[in-house]
Amino acid sequence: MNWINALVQGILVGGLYAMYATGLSVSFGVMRLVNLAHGDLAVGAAFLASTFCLSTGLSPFLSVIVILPIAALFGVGLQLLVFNRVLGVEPAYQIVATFGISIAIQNILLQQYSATPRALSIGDFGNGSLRIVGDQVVVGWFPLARFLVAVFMLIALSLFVSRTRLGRALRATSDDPDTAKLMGINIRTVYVIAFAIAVTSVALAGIFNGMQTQFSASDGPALLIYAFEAVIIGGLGSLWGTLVGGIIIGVAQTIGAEMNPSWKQLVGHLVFLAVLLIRPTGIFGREEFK
Amino acid sequence: MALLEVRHIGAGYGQFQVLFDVSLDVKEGEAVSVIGANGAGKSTLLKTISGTVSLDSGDIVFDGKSIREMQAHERVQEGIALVPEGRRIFRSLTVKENLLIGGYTSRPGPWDVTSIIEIFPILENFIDRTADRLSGGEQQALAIGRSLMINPRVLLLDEVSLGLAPIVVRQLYAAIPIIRSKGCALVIVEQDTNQALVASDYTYCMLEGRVSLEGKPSELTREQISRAYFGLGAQL
Repeated sequence: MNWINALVQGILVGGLYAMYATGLSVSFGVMRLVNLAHGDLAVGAAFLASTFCLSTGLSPFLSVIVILPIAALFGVGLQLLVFNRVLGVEPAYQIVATFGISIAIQNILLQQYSATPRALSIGDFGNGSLRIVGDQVVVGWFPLARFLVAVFMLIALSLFVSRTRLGRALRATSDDPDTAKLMGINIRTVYVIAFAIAVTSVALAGIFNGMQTQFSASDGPALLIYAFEAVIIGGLGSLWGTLVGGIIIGVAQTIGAEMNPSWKQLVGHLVFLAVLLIRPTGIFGREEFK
Repeated sequence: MALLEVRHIGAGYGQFQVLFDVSLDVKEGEAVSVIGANGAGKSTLLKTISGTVSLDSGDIVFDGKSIREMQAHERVQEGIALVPEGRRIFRSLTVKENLLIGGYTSRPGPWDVTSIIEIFPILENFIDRTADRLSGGEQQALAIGRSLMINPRVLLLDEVSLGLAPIVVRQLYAAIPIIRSKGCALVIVEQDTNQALVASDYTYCMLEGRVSLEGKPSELTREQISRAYFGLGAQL
């Protein structure tokens, strides 16, 4: 057994989970939207990327240049056409709407791409690795790059949220939408921007996931669970908490797998439940959620 | 012509009507007070003017044009600012960020972070702290400052004195002449009539959703006011 290696791998996987969770954290944090279609949006982006790669012959890394703007536009459209219309009504309507979108995306993907799993090939880069501590710890180039992309994305997002006028409006709307209106903020526009960010970030996560793991049309809900767990462990609405939450899930899984390969998922979920019991607001969550 | 004209409005929450045929005028630079007991409809009146409660009948005219169809954030862009009851500070933002959010619309005018701190110097010590650490009086100063950052033409103040010590209330009201001197009109809603009457040129008293009395505070007697405040037959 190699615990240090398990820990390092867990941290690197945690970067991916954080990438998944960021969008969920933004859409919940800003508009209290529990988006059940979050995982399906990731899978949808991965399929679009595979279409892009097959038809152009280019690398999946280049696909993000095309896919992310499409994802952002899709987010804008969804928010304008669906979620802004069920705003401020019964919260259950929103959840039902996201559930419907989830089912619709899964079925569209199934119809377009069949049930056969796909993968995004990144060639040798996917297999290369760095060995440190006398071959005890193996760091894959790709998981490392993926982790760095996740951290970079969080830095960019947190700078946007903390330093810009629009970012401030996002936080004010998250705190108290009714009072935000009294400051001249059009909260519907804020929601559109927040959801565009959410869909773009989860699309990036879906593409990076697809570069290492096979994906199929019905994978969305399973991905959603990891994202939810990372968000809740980190604390709702906290961006850096999301990274910590992702890492905790990732490490729990790799340590669990080190003990017994079949325990991987189980240990991750148990750690999530334990955090929920001990600290229901999450590590960086605000006390008032209790 | 008045800057803000509320014309025979009816408003409420769904089936529950709160305001009945309420009219009110605010001239450019004037301070108007609205007094009345708890539940008389004062806050609903301010919310209807600011656009967070929708109008059922009548009209609201600002600077010569109807704002009936405008959403709350559009009315802010026109220069109507509300300091909401209960202060409603953005708790996760710093004091400075709360002020900057008030400046979101970038309306030109005399107010910026520096001039707000001049009238509420107490805020300077906390400028980079999150606003949830402030005391009630400090939060109220911040709420007023935040709405002034809009550079409004009319500032609606909802129950500024609520839950605050008299000395703190006096400090806050000391800012009112300065605010007026910069050309901003005021609508002051209070349950505590004394402060409101002193600070205003004209007053409206509300009772059960209607205007029960109006006039210049200097020309109204104490008895008239208490009758209008508590209803017919009230003794004081």
